[in-house]
Amino acid sequence: MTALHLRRAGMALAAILLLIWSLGPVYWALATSLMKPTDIAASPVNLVPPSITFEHYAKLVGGLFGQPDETGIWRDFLRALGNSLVLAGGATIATTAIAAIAAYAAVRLEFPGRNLVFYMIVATLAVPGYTVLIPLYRMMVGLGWVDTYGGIILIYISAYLPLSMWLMRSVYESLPLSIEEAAFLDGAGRLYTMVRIVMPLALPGLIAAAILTFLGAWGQFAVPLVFAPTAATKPLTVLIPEFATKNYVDYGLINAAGVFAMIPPALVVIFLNRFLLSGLMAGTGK
Amino acid sequence: MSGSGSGKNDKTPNMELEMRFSDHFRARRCVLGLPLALSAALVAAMAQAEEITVLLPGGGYPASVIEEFTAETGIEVDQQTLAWDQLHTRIITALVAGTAPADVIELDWSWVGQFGAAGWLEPLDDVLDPSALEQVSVLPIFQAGGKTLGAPYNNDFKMMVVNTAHLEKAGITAPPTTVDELLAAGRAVKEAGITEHPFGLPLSVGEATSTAWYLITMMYGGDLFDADGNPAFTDPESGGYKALEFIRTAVEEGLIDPASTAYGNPEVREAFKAGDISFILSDGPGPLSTYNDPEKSAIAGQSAASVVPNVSGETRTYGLPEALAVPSASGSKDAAVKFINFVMSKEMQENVYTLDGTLPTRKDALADLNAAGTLESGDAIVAQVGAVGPLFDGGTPPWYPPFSNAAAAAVNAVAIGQMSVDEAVASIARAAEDARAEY
Repeated sequence: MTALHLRRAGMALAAILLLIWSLGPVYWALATSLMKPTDIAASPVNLVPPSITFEHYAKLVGGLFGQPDETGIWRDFLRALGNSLVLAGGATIATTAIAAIAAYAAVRLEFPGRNLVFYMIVATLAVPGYTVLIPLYRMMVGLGWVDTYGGIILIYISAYLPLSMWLMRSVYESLPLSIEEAAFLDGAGRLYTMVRIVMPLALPGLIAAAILTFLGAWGQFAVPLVFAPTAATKPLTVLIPEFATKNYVDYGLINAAGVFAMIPPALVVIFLNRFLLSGLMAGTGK
Repeated sequence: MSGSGSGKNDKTPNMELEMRFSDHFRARRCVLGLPLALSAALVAAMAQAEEITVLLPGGGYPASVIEEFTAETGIEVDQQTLAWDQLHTRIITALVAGTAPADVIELDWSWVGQFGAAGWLEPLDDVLDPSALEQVSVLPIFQAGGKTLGAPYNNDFKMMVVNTAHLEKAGITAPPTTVDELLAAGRAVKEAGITEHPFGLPLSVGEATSTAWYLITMMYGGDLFDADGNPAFTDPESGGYKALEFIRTAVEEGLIDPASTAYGNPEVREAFKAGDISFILSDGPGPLSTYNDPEKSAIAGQSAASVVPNVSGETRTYGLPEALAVPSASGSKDAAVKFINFVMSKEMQENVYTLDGTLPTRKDALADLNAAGTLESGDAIVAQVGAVGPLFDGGTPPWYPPFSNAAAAAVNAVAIGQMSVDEAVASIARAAEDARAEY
């Protein structure tokens, strides 16, 4: 066996190990979601479902198809799914829009303290969320924004805007100024130039910022735990742990809900991955 | 013209006066009536909109119970639920911020000292139904500074749970009642090859482990602290010391699975449901219905609760009940108390047990359910209820959480073999003193 063969075998082995490490938990969640509770509790552990059941999925979405469900879990689940989509989607749109404009201002506009303002915003990345949780809660209660989409989205924006701004600044800096100058010479205004000329060129960066914000907001737990106390705004991340009660952990239901919860972020990453890479790489080739 | 003029002047002075008065009163009625009408509408709206929020773990109260309360009192209930592990974070954040997380909140036995010292809760002594005060034996657990801060609604106390089929196979006719019998039974089950590791005990660094150690301390007749508040587990003859020796011996003999050092309560319960262990030494009556549910357990029909073994001939245990409390910052304290009194009634506790298995805290409700044959392992539960006491006299102290963490870490270290029993008790005693000094 040549050195080349050995190297290829080693790389294949490493790839397989990495795949098992990454996809193993996903497979485990899927397998458990398809097992009966007695098969989940069986000894030795069943790596493959001995028999397939959709009972956990039926509890989550069966009500949509007219299946009787006294527990009402499906209503809570679908509402939480909707809340997750609204919160993550709202935060993504708002954060990306603000970051696009704010980072442009930080790169192209001349005003006193431009860099100071930018670095102060980015510096908030270093502030641990827990340290501001209690004053933030107090403030939100005072404003009546607890348990509202607007209030929670606002917190997400403050959490994810610095990273998006940072990313967008690199993207704008990588774009040649001459294109904008040409547009100005042709009579285009600043706003027109930004929206019609710069934004399309910065699209990979915008999409990368949107993906990062969406993934972050989708997986948020601490903020909605405190600020989304009722079913009106409670997202999946807070609802799913409720399937573990003091005396019984419903692993099948938890994993079935987890499988559903994986779908939106997985779709986002699968279909927009190429933009994520090019957006994150912006400015590296200067 | 005159006609018209006379026409206008047809009104007598009296009539004119009447009209002027009439207009005046109409105007006054309008001026006075408007605020009155608005106030009445506001009062009516407020009466209609009287609503309380209730924050509980798991699924909370069944919908029918909430509906019944609303029908009886006219008070609407917005029930909010949260996973047990996250509840403390949610409640603490709101209370520290000076707000009420809800009008009625969950109060765990281990939070009593901390919440009581901070003055976050409304005393309930004068507003709770006297029958509830008389009938609930675990009430002292929710008293701090001489005040009752919570109404216990979910009875939870430590008991042993056994697999009766395993015992029968090993030739054991009745669950062990003494510590020696317990060890002998474990060894017999192991020798018969029924289970490789008969005892289930959580030994990870977590609350489940420290609470298990407290129970085994009680099995040996010991207490955690003496009357002066000094550690009572450092003497080799003390219950706490012997409890650690029991754990070390059981792990060394293979009576406890060495993997238990990574187990909390859920993992131990899963192993029991799979038939991998024969005894859960530190469990409670709550999960019995799950163990005996053929859809959720491989050992359905084989599980029974058993009184905690002992060395003195008298069983002892402690309660870990959950209570309902009213935050001082609540804006609807009266309505919140009405809700608490409603769900604390005997009838409602029996009803809730039938609906979702929440074990009543009232002795009369338990007796009724046992007499009706609806209480699983009823005789053992009723026998154990009489021996439930608080873990700490005078309520759980505010320094309990760091003490508990240190105890769990030391028990885990003994089980792994990283610490001797002497080192472990010294470490726990040191942590207790540090924690007390800090508070």
